[in-house]
Amino acid sequence: MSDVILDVKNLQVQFRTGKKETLTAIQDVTFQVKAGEILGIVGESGCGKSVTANTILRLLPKQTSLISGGSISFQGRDLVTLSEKEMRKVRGSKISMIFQEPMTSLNPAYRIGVQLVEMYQAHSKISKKEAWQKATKMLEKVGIPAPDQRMYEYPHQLSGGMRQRVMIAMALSAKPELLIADEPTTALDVTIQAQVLDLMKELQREMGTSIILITHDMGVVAETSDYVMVMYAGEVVEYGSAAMIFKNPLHPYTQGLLNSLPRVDRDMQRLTSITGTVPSLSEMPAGCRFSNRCGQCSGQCTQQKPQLVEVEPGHQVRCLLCGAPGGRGEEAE
Amino acid sequence: MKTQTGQKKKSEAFRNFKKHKMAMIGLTIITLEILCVLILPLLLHLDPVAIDRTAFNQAPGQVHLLGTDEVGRDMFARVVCGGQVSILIGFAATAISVLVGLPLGLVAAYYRGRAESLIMRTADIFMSFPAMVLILVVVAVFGSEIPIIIFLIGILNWPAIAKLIYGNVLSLRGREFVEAERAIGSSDLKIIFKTILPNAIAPLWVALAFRISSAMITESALSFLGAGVQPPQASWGNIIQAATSLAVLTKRWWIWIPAGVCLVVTIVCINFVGEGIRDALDPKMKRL
Amino acid sequence: MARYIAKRLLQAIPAFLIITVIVFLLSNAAPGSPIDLIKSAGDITPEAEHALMVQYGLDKPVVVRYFIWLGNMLSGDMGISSRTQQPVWSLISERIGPTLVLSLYSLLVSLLIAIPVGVMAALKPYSIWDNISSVASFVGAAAPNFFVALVLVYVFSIKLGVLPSMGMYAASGGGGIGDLARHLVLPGFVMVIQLLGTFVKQTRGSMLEVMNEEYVKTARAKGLSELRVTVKHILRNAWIPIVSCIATTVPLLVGGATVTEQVFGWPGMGTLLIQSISQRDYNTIMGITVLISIAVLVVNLLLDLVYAFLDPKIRFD
Repeated sequence: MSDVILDVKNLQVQFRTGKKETLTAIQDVTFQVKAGEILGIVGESGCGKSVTANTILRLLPKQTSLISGGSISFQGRDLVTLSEKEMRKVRGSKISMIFQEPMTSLNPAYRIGVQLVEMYQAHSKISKKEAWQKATKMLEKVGIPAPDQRMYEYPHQLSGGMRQRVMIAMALSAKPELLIADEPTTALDVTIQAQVLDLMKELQREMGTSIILITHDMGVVAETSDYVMVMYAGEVVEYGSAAMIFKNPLHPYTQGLLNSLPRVDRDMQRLTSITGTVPSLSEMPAGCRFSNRCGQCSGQCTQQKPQLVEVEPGHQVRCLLCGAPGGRGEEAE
Repeated sequence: MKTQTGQKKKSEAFRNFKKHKMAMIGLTIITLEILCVLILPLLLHLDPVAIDRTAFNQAPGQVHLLGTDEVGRDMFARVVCGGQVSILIGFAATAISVLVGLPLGLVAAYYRGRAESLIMRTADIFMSFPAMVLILVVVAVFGSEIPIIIFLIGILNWPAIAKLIYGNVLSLRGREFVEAERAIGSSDLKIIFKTILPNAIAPLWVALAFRISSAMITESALSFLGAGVQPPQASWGNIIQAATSLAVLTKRWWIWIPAGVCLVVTIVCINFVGEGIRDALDPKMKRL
Repeated sequence: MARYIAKRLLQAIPAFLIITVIVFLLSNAAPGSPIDLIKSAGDITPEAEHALMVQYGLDKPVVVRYFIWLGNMLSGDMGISSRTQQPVWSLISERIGPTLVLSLYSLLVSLLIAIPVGVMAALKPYSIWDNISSVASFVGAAAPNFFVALVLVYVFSIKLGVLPSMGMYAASGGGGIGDLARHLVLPGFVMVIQLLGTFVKQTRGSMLEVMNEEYVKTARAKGLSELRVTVKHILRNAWIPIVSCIATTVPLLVGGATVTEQVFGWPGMGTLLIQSISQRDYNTIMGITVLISIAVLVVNLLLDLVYAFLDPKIRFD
């Protein structure tokens, strides 16, 4: 049983949309990350997974966003309450993050080597020469050919896949406990995607880093994650181990996500999809947020807000039809 | 906005404009000004060149509301009639800029290829050279009659309009509804007039306001330097020229200050209207 | 990089040619050619006229005449000023310095003020810096420079008597940096107002654009200090459009200088131009215009070079 290194409880984030108005982007988000394990956060665009990830490192713009509730416990401290100065000590060295667009994640004005060295020197007192050597070795580790040469190149001279590898190298250089990867492979070709995911898994095994992997692709989740958290419209709707989620998905949304995956092992005539679209933040339905798209929606679903309830050990769902007794057969125990 | 009809967009824009206080004030003042310069000369029989031999350099008084200059001309008449000239030149020159710039920008963006590079490069060349110097040189050779001035200011400002239209049409050109029109076989002209122009025109109004005030500044600077409207005809610029004399500057404020204030107020109001239109069309872009 | 420079040069040449052709045609259209002057003194026979035309090279085709004219201009032979009977070049050359001093001073001061204001306005939206930048842009666009100049002279020179209103140095016993500095204040102020608006707007816009780039978030996620992120990551990239913007303010600088010099009696090319126009000294007028064309060309090319240097995508293509 590994230790919990990140413990998020009831996290709530609001965005400022006008002089006085605010909208709640995510609410009641609760989850844990265990040492050495990979948590996959999955959901459609706009469901709040990026907001959650960015909030952990407090990277959202201060002028327009606000952490209005909850706590993020990491190494005995609540990251929500830390000052900016203390937060900076966490970023990069204890918790790292890589982003979706490798084409724009690196500063086009500086050489790769310079940007990598900057990372080393920000978190330890080593000379430029030493940092340069370490960075070159790191590049080699992430599978970049001719690393000595690459160090002198500019981002625009590298391909997307290579840039993402550089990002990974940069993120892992200070040996953080946790790496947050926000849709790291979405902008890459499928073949490169597989390579980058394999690289991440390998490095994670080797260095024991925990990873929060954010994606909208259930296939990626299936390949990488130990634990899965499904988000919808700013809330966590299901959470559990990968095995539980894939074998026994309880929330209709999760089921919909899994059903919409094309399968080679089944005879499929048409792809199923979830009807409708995510409602905008200002047009949320009154009861369950998924009610207007749910195939199993019942009367109470449109009136009552379901809570996140543990239905079997380690498996939580936010659904009136799954949690309440006498609801659906699977969880009756 | 794609699903809204043109009418709905227009009325929403008008509503937004009315909310912009400074723009509304600006618009009111400009309208009043235009009315004044058009009506007052006729109503009050103002003559900007008539000489009153009994009153040289007279301070404002009952007979001459804004005093007289060293030749005995009534300053009030000169300011009002000068306003007529300055405002006329501003609008007319801008009209020429649009007449030249709009089609050129349209052609460059719609037909692309060689026309595009030729037109846009020429625009760049025009924009890189100081228009003021060129106008001064041409005026030196051909004289400074008002039509020449209007033509010159208008002609040298076409690049700004052309570039604006070019940018808008270029982005519209690739949009789905244009593709759809092409797919059903509409002719180029029809596509341009029916779908592209109505959508591209809107930001033009903003540019127009700023072009008009810019043209007025150019004309007044020219007239101030003596290369624009020639006395005895009045324009705000050449009225202010009197202040280059120390005596006028320090002792006879009524000669140069009213025209200057009118000029500044007019330009500021036009700019407010321009900003108001800009905010009305796209409230998200409320910043500069 | 070499390719970029070559391309820029190739583009610059047509611009130069077009402007100089226009100037050449204008100078031809101007009355007062040497032959007209001779004819006004008395009639001459057609043979004499033809001989004179050959002498002045006026019988050659227009294109040839243009290139001869251009060659002369570029080598410093700009003809004789009809106003002072001196070589045009000597008239102009003593005016270049003052105009350069005024222009460069104004450019530097406006950049020194505008960039920090623009940066602060971008970093702290809705703050006082933001308001200052909006006001600066508005005033810059709206204020007619000659009127502002007159008001300033009235207030500071006449009423308050603290700053000189005329010329570059004091008429008697002047000279030296201090004197020059005092004389630069008012005309410089007028020029700066015009430029400030453009630069502030550009800086702010450029900063805002860069601030939203992904690599800025990466830099923060690396745990770098906010200062380092702002200077090394944001500013370093925001410079680039600002440099291009300087090129677009050259027409403003030149046009503004013409008017400002006139109001303040600054002994630069602007006042010479106005003087020449009122005296119909066409040779000087054309000489100044060609010189300005060259200057515009050179400045644009220089700025292109700086731009190429700053942007690694162009430098290491």
